[in-house]
Amino acid sequence: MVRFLIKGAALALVIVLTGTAIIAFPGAYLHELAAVINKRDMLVSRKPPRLIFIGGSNLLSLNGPMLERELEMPVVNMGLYANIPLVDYFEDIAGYLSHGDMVVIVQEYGSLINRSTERLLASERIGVEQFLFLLSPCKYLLRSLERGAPFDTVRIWASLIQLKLKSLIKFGTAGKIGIALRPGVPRYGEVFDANGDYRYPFLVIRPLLEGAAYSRPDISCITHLKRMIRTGGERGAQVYFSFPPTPESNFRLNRKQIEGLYVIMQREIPAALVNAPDDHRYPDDYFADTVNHLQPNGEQIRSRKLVEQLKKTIAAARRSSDKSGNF
Amino acid sequence: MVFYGSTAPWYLLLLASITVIAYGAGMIMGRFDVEKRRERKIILSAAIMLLVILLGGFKYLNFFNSVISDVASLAGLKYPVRVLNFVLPLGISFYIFQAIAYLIDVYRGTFRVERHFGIFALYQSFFPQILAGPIPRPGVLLPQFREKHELDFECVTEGLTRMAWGFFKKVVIADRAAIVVNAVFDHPHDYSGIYLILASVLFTIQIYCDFSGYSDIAIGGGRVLGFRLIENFRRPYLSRSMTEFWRRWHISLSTWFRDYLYIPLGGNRVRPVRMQLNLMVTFLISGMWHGAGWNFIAWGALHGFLVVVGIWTARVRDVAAHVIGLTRFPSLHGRLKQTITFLIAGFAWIFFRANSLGEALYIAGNLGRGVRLLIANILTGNWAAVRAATDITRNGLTLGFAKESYNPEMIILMTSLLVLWIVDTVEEYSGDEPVLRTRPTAVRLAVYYFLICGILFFGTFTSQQFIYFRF
Repeated sequence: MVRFLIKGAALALVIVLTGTAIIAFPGAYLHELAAVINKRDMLVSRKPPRLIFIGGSNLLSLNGPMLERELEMPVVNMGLYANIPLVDYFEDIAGYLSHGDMVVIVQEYGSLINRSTERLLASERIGVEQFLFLLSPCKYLLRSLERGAPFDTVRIWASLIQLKLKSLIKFGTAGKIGIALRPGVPRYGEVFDANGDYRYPFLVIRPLLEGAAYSRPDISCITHLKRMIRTGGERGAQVYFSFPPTPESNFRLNRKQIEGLYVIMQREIPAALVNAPDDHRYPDDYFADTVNHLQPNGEQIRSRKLVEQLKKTIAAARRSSDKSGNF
Repeated sequence: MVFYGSTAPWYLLLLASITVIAYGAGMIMGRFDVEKRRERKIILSAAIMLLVILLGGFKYLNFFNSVISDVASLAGLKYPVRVLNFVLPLGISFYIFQAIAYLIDVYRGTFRVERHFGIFALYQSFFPQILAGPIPRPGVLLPQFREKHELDFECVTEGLTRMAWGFFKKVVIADRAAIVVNAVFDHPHDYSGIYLILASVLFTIQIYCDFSGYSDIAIGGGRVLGFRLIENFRRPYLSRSMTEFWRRWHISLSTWFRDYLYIPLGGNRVRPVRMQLNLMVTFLISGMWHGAGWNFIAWGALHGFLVVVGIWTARVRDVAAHVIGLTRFPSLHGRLKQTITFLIAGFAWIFFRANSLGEALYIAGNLGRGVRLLIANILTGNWAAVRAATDITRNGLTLGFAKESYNPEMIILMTSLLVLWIVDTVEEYSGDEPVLRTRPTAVRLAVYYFLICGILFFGTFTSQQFIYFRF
């Protein structure tokens, strides 16, 4: 019995070590959310004070170079996917924030208001968490133990190994092993620019996807926002919130919910608001495939508006810090 | 019982009823002498009828209902009986056949009545095989419940290895093939002939790996506990004829049909025409056993027809092989026979997998659509046309996979198929004894390592159920 158990344990240990070595070995994961690694690396490579955007894929229709030029600050666009639990993502990168950084959260209305998003997150949790696991493995290991689901970590571990091996197979068999050995998502540089924006416009699809009637504002999103503001503040960064772009039709459909959310935000986090929902309403024609992604013309207008709004915010922050002598 | 009841508690009631019926009928038969055949036959018939009614009620009621409804509407009559919505109890076809096997063996006097209800209930509900077999024979399984089973690490290792191999076949091969198969079979009109062929070939592999994988898990699970369950598969795709295929495929069911249906019908001891009729009847009922649908009936009928045609043409084929000189190359002749048998079985599986008989006929009739043009393009080196014809994207997916991951998934599938082929070939030449048993520890550990790594690192962990759980 003892011999059997020793052999079994040794075998299990070798398998765990093999898998962990595969994850530790530099290489790409065949999934676009692995871009969190590239974006984290981009954040680390830019010198503070930086203008950091964090949120869902609405941020992929942003003109980073224009913002960088106009605001004279390095712009780091961490935006990737609306269903990544933003508060976790924020905390995973919070360790890289520095004094003077300015963080702008731009979360989609679907994530802010829609209660069904919570259910979606639960069903997708493992799929999304595996990439955050790459940023903070210990945190997610402990979390799965806390919720009594240690096999979640095993699933994440196995899934990451699979994505890495598939990347190796794909590019190795095509004679492009170099791509498979770069960290993050394969061909990151071809898809994202130096600021982390999408290089290519989104496909234009009609009718626009993901447009739906929202339920009532979810107060938990305010709690999360407050937590991010506090966490950022502890690192010496100023954290702000900007409303996402939304098409007129979607705004009209959800006016009551969006305005309700705005009222709550004005009451709870007034100092963090960079703009109002009305500021980022655009004609439907400006949008590409979903109610969150703008076409290049919409992207230009949005970015220009953000420049003006952020200039005011920066000026206001400087004024208040001049008074307190902190900025 | 807990394992079975965890899926739906009311299943337990059905399982318990069937156990009580079979146990009770067996006990009553046991009270009569073997010579009192008439009384025993009445009890056997009544019990079997009751079990078949239960099976028919749960499995075929809606099918017959819809057939009557269709006939009535054709005749312009109104048929008011509605379709009943309930979930088919898991494994019902398997454990009812298991109970019938026990009753017939007791009736024939080939097996003594089991008087201990607890042991009989264990036989009926033995968890490794309750959901999808192998359908045990009372003479093989029941005596094992009276034996003492001590923890034997040799058995545990052997059982775990068998289970791991079963999981490998299921999650690495079958479930990966299923993604392509489901994409094509669920929308056959969207795909050209080459994809219909690909999906048909992959389903041929999927169903083998899915069902034999389940059987390996069940047999391995039994082995861990010290039990020996009967083998269910013996490399069926290495068969050289359809008759041989059925000696190697789902052995516990095909021998059940042989012993409890085909032989009582007269088996081979009757005139050739009657024997062929018996074969057709057996295969038709086998088709119906698999599912309540015209496509399953067609699948059974097709297999019956293929076996009968195989008998008719056996001599002609032998002569033809001799005339063209194939018999001088027995190995090549054997491989050719294996390939043809594989292709015929694969063609028949179309009827098994298709969502309806109409779709099965569509797929079968369109296998060649566009293939000639594709071959012409390949031969003329028109690669742009080849690429256009083979680049199928539907809803952003290539045959069910994200476009980005399609190539690696296919490479993993092909590599794992190669592993399967090597293992099956080695097993074919080494007999039924576990190949690993005589190997050095280092070799065995290396095999366990690669097997577990294969499952963890290349398994597709979807919610794809075992195919035979539906039956």
